[in-house]
Amino acid sequence: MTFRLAARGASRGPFVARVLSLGLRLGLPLALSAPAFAQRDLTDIPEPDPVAEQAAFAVPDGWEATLFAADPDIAKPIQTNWDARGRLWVATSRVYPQLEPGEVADDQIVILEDTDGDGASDKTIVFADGLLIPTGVLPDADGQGAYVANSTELLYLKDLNGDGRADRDAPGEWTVVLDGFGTEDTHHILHTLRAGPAGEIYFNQSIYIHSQIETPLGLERLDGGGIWRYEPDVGKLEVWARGFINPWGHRFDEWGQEFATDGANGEGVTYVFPGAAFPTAVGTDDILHGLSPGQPKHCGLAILDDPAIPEAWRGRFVTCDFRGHRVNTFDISDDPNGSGYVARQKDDLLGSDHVAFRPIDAHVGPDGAVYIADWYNPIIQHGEVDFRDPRRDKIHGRIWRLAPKKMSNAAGPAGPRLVDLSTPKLLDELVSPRRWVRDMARRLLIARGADAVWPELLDWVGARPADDGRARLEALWLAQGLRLDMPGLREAALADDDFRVRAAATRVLGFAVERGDDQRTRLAALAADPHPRVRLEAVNMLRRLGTAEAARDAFVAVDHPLDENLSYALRLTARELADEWLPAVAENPDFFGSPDRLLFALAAAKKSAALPPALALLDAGELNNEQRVEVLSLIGRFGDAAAVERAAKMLDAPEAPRTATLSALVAAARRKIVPADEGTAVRALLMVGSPAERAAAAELLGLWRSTDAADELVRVAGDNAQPQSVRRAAAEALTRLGTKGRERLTALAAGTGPAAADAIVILSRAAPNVAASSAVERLVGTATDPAAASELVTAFAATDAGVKALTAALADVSLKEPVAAAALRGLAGKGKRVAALEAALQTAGGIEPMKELNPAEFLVLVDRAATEGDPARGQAIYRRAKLKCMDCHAIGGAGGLVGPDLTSIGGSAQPDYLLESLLKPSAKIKEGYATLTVLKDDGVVLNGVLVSQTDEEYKLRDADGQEIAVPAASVLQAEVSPVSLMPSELVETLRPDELADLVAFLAALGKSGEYRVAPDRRVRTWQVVYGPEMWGAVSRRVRANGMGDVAERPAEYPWEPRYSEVSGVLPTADLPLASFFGGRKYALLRFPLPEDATAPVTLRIRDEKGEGNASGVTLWQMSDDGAGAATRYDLDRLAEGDTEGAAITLDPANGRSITLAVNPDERAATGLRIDLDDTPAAPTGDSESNVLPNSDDAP
Amino acid sequence: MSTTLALACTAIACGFAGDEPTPDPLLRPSDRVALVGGSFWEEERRVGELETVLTLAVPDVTFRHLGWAGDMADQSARRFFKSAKEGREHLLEHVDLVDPTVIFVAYGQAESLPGGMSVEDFETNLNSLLDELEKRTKRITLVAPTSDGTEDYASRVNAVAEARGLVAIPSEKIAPVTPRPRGASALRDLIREKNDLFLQRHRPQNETYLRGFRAHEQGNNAVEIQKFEPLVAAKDEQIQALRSKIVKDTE
Repeated sequence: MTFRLAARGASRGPFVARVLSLGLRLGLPLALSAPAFAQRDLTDIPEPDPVAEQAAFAVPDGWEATLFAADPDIAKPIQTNWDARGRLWVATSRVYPQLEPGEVADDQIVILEDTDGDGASDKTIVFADGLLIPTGVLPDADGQGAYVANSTELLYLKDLNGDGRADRDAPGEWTVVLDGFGTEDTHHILHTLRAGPAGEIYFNQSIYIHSQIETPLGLERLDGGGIWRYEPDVGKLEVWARGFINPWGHRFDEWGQEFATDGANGEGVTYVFPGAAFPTAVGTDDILHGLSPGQPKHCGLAILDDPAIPEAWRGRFVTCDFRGHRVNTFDISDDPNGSGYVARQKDDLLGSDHVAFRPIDAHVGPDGAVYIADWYNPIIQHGEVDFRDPRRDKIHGRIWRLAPKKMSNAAGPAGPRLVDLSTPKLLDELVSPRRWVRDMARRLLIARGADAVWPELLDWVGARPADDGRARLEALWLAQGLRLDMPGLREAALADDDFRVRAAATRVLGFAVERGDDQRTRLAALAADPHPRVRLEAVNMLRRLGTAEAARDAFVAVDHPLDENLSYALRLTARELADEWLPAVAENPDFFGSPDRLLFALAAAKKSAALPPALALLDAGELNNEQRVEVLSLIGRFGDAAAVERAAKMLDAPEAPRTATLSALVAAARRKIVPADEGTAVRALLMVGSPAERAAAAELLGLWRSTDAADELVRVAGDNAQPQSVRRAAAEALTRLGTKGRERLTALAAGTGPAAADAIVILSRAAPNVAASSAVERLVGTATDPAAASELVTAFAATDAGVKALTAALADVSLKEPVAAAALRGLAGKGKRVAALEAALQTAGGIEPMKELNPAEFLVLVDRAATEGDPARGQAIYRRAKLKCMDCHAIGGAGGLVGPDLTSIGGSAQPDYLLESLLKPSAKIKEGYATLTVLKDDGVVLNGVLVSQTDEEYKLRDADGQEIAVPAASVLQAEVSPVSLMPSELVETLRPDELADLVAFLAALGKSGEYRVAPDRRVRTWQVVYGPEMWGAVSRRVRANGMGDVAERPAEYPWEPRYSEVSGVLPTADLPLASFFGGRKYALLRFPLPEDATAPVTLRIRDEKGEGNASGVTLWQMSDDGAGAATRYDLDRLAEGDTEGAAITLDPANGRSITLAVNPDERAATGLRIDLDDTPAAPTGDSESNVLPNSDDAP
Repeated sequence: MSTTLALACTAIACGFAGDEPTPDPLLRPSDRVALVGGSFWEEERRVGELETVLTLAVPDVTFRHLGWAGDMADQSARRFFKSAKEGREHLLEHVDLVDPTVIFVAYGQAESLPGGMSVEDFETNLNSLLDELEKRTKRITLVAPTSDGTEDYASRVNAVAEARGLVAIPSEKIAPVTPRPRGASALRDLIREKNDLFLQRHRPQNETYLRGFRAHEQGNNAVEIQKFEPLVAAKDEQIQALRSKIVKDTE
C-alpha cells in the first residue's frame, strides 16, 4: 500500500460517483485501488513549503486561509492561547516524543504578535526555553506571566524585569506550582490549559496518566483521563470531570457552560459539568457520553462567537480532525427536552489533502478571525510509530488564519488597547459584543484585584439597565474572581428570565456557599427551578457541599422530570454523600421528605446501609409496585436472612410483585441466603403462578436444593402442557438436586413428547453422555418433526462435551434422511468445532452430496421440493455466498446481470424445469444468455454472454460480470457455445433437502405473497464495507477519522455488494462489522438515491416485519461532488418512540450518496428495509438498481 | 525548607554539636547515597542546595534522587497503571540500581494532608519500607516533616527511628547557615544537570511504551534509557573535579 496524495483528491470527484454507479449496476465488488490506511506505509514526504500546504486547502465560500506564522519562528506548536495584548502564546516542542540521551531539553514558549494588524505575525519573542515537552501554555491576560505544563510539573513563569522573557526566581529555577503529574505517555501529559470564567484555570490529562498531587490543602489523585480545576489565588486543586481518552479540547461558552473534545473517544463534542464521568473513567460504571458518537479524533475546541464571523457560521463549535486534515464544525443547541445539548455536524471550515497538515488547536482571535495551530507532521504521535522514525518532522509548524473575505480590519486587533484601559473603561468592555474582549477584560480586572475594582464595579453594576442579564453575569463572574460577595447582584441573576443566566449564577452561588456563605437554602430552592439545566447546576453544587442536608436539598430534583444528566448527577450525589445522608435517614426516616426521593437515593447508593430504610419504606406501605421492586432488588443484593425471610413472606400477599420477589430470592440464594421456611409459597407458585413466576420458582427451588420439591419439579418438567421455559427451568432445577434429581430427569428424558426433548436439552449440559443416548433414541424413533430434531442437536452443539457425546452415540446408528438433514441445518455456521458431529449425522442419514440423478431420483426430488421444500430456507440457501447465485442473477434488480433475472421465474417455470436448470445449466439456455465463444486473431479465446454486437465490436459479459469489448476486426471466429456460463458444481455441494428447498424458493418467486417483489421502491442493492484481509486497517481508519469518513471518502474503503431479500429486507445478522471505540461494532452500508429522483425523497426505515424502526441506524448524506462534510442524521435518536419518525426526507440536490452505520447491538430488529417514497420525474429509461424490477422473467 | 534541612544534614555529616556523644558520621568518603521520599526530595532535586553542601563536606559521594512528588510511604504515587504494591517494587528496583551505601528516607508530609493516610497506616508503611531498605543497607537516616499539621507524623518518624536504632533528623535542631565558598553555585549547576539526567533514568517519560503494556508495539526505545547512566557518571566526575578545585581554593 502506498499513500497517493493525488488519489485522494481524485476520489472525491464525480469520477468516483460514476465508478460506483457502474459498480452498482454490475452488482460487483468495486475494483478500487487498495486504500492507504496506516501511517506506517507513508513513503511520500511532502516538501514542507507553506505555500504548497496552503494551496492544498479547501476553504468554504466566503472564507480565506492565510499564513499567520510559521517555522522557523515556531516549531511543532502544541497549544496556543491569547493574552489581552492580542499576542498568541505558543507552546512548542522539538524534543517530543522523547528526550534522547545526550540531548538537552530546550523546548520553548514563543509569543507571536501582529503589530501592524495585517493578519500576519511580525514579531516573535521566545518567552521561555529549556523546557521538556511543554504541552500547554496559558498566559496571564496582561502578558507578563504564564502557566506552562512541563512534564510532571505545572510551572508559572513570569517576566519580572520587563524584558519580555520569563525570569527565574533563582538561576535555573522555575516556580513549580504543582508537581507529580504522570508522564506515562507524552501525548497524554498535562495539557489544554484553559482560563475559566472567574479566574480559575483548568488543565487536562489523558487516559494513561496517573497523578498524585500534593497541595497545601490536600493530596489529590486522578487515575486516567480527566479535567483538573485549580484556583491559583488559594491553591485549591480538584478533579473537575473524569474519563475521556485524550481530552485535547475544552472550552466554555459565553454562558459558562463547558464542552470538551477528545482525540480518541469518537463521541464528538461532549457537554461537561462538575463531577461528570465519561467513558474510561476509572472506578465507576456510571458514565455519560458525548453529543455525537461516531466522530473522528478531535483536538482543540473553539466557539465562533464573534460578530465578525458570517452569520451562517456564527455560534458554531470548531474542532480539529487532525487525522483527516480538516477542521470540523458543529451546531450545538439547547436540548429542548432536557438539561443538555443537541449537536449537529455542519460543513468543514477547512479541509486538505496535505498529508502533513495537522490542525490541533483552534481559537477565535482578537480580530474575530479563526486561528488554527498546525502541528505540521506527516507522522503523528508515537504509539504506532517509532520514537526515532526519521520521517517524524521536528522543526516545522504553522499558525493559519481563517478569516471571512473582506473582513473589516479597520478597527485593528482588539487586544493592545485593553491592557492600559482605566478600570471604569475596562468594565465597559464587559458588555462588548466580542466574547474575546469580554473574557480578556474580565481577566484583566480580576488581576487588578478587589481593592482596585470594587468601587467602580458597584457603580458600573448600578448603571446597567435592569434587563441586562448578560452584563450582570459578567459582573457576577468578575466578583467571584475577585472574591467579592455581591448578594444583590447574584440574586438578580438568579431571578433572571433567561435560564442560562440563572444556571451560571447557580454555580457562582454554589461556590459562595462552599466557601461559607449561608445561602444554602437559596441554592436548595434552585434544585426545583423550572429549567432542568438550573436544577442540574444546583444538584452539582449541592453535592460539593458534602453534607446530609445538601443531599436532601439536591434530591428535591427527583420531584421533577429527570433526564440523563440529572439522573446521573443525583446518582452521583447519592453515592458520594451516602456516608452523610444514610445515618441521617437512619435517625429520621422522613429525612428526605418524600418516599420517592428517599427511594431514588437508596437505590442509587448501592450500599448495604441503604437496605434498612428501604425496608422501613416497605413497612410503611407507601410504595407503589415499581418502588417495591427497587426495595426487593436491594434485598436480593444486600439482605440478611431476616430481610430475605421478609421477601419470602411477601409472596403470601396477593398484590406483591411476585416476579421481582422471586428474583430477589434468587439473588439472595446465589449469596447462599435461604429463608428458613423453604417456601411452601414458592412451591405453590411453581404449580399455579404465571409462566415467569413458575420458571423463577423452579430456579429458586433448584438453588435452594429443595429435594422436598423434587416431585413437583418432575411433574412440571414432564408436563407437556406447560410452556417450554417453565419445563426447562424445572428440568434445570432437577439437575441441582444431586444424583436423585439427575436420575429423575434421565427418566423423563427417556420418555416421549416435548417434555422429554426438553429434559434431553437440559441434560445435554449436566450429563451429556446419558443425554446423548436418549437423544439418539429419540432421533431414531418417533421424531419426525425436523425443527425438534434440529433443536435437539443444537443443544448438544453448545458444548464440546455435548458434541463429543452425541457424535459417539450416533456411531452405527441409522437416521431417517429428513431428520438427519434437519439436524444438519441446526449445525449450519457452527464451524469446524462441530465437523465430527456433522459427519456422523451425514453417515447416519445416508446423506451424500448431489451427483448425477437417475430419472426416478429426479422425480423424487421434484416431488420433495413440492411437498417438503421450504421457500424461506431456500432463500437462505440462495443467499449463501458460497453458491454465488446472487453474483450472476438478480431478483427485483438486486444481483448480478450475467444470468437471467429471476424476479418472477416461479410464475413461468415449473419445478422440474427449475431443478434441471440447477443441475444441468447447459441443458436449456435461456435466449439471450447463450454463451458466445470468440476466437481472436491473437489466439485468445473469450467466453461470455453477448451484450451487444455492432459492425465495429462485440461486447461480451464474462462469468465475473466484466464487460469485454472485442473489436470486430480482430475476431476470427464467433460461435454460440453449448455450455452455459453457470457452473454446475456449485449446486452439487447441496444436500437433497437443500436442493428441494432451493427449488421451492425459485418456484415461489413472482407468485403472490412474500416472494413477489413489491412494486414500491425499496433499497435492494447495498454496498457494505468488507475487508477480510484488512479489517484491522479499516477499523483503525474508522476509529481515527470517525464513521463520517466512510461517507466522505468511500473510495478509501473496500466495498462489496449485498442484496436484500425478496421482501426488500436486508438481514443484519451476517453483515460484516467494523470495530469502533468502546467495543462498539458497526455495519457500514451505502446506496444511492435513485438517479431519476429530482424532488425530495422520503426514506422510511423499517424492520423485517415492515414496521417503522430506525433503532441503531445513523445516516449520512454526502454531496455528489464529494466536497465538504457529509450531513449526519442520528435516525435512532430522532425516532425514539416514534415509528412515524423512522423516516427522513432528503433532497437529492444535496447529494445522492447515502451511507449508513448500523449498530447491531442497538438495532432492535433482525433486518433492515428502506422504502423510498418519492415523486420521480418522467421515467428515464434504463433502470437503476433501486427501482422497479424488469419483468423479463422466463429463464 | 530545603535550605534548613540541608544545613541539618551538614551538621550531621560533620557530627552533632553539643553534649551528646558524636555518632559515626552519616556520610563517609565514596558513599553512594539514595534519596528516597516524596515531594521533599523532588524539590531538592531541582534546587540542589543540600546536595551542594554535602558534596563539599565529604569527598567522592554520589547522590541519586529517587524522590517522587506526591509520594507517600506506601509508594502509591509510583503506581502507574497498578497499585501501591507495584509502586514500591518500582522504588526498590531503582534503589537496587543505585546500590546505595546510605539511604535518606523522607516521608510524612503528604501523608498528613487530607486525602493522605492515617498515622497508623503511615507507621505501618514506613516500617515495611524500612524492612526492605535495611536489606540493602543499615545506614539509613529518616527525615521528619516539619510543617504545621505534620507533628503527629513527625513523632512517628522519630519513634520508628528509635525503635529501629536509626537516626531521625529533627528539624528543630538545625544549625545556622554557613558561608558558601566561591564556586559553589557552579557546583550546584552541575549537580542539577546531573539530577536532570538521572531523572531520565529513574523516571523517563513514556513509561507505557518503554516498559508498560504498549512496549511491544514498536518499542525499540527502552534501550535508550540505560544510555543515561554513563552521562550521569560523567557528570559525577565533573562534580568531583570541581569540588576538588573549590576545596583546594578554599584551603
